[in-house]
Amino acid sequence: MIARIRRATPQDAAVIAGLHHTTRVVAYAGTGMAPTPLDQLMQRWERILAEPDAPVSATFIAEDAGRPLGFCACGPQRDEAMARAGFGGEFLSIYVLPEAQRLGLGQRLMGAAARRLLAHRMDAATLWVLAANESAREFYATLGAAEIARREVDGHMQVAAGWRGLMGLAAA
Amino acid sequence: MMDTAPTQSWMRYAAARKRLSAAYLLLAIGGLLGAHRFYLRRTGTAVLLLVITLMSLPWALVFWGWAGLFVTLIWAALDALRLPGMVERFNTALAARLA
Repeated sequence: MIARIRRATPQDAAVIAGLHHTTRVVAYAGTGMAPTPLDQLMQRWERILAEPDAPVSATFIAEDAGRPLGFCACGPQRDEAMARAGFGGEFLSIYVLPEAQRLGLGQRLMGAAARRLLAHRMDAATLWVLAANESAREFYATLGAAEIARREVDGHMQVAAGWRGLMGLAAA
Repeated sequence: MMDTAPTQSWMRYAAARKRLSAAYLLLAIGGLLGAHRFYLRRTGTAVLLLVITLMSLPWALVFWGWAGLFVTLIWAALDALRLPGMVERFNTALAARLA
């Protein structure tokens, strides 16, 4: 498979919402969490991708011969405490379809997002992951992330994975 | 606070990375002269493009130059398709050098 990573455009809202929904249904299976309805996700992505005044925020898609396989969105840090701690960037979401996992796509997507953050002089970033999502946490750990915080949202524990220094990710 | 000395590798990355928009602009303005390839530090092929175009120009009025210009035109058109990948590879390699 020769997958390509490219920047997402507003026309990709439906595609990304579809990917988001599919991967969430899989990731949330057995956790008791209800995935966000597809139409809500679509509205959200239309809004995110249409934002013209977002100098840092960007979304990247991985696709193989036009078939979307995963995406990764990054932007400035939303959590004030983390921003104060020096983590200026945030990976807002990263999802790869189950059948396309373990092919290095996630790493390449995060690489593209890391280069984006670095280009805007952000050298540290975080993301939130469900504590129950062991495979994702393991994946981030292999990419050099450290667990830097925990929080509970709607009765589910989330872990913050943090990178101090994005050059390693960017070289992927 | 984080160290923000300009010698930090990530600052050097931010300064030295190549932009896709700039690469396309150079391709549009001076693609036949290899401008976009000079920008992406592919000097060898950039010089080749430049030489073929410059050598072909005077001959284009007469006869043979059309062949050379045809070659560089196709080359530039193909580069237009490959430019995103070329920029990404340059920036990835740059990050790898600085990491």
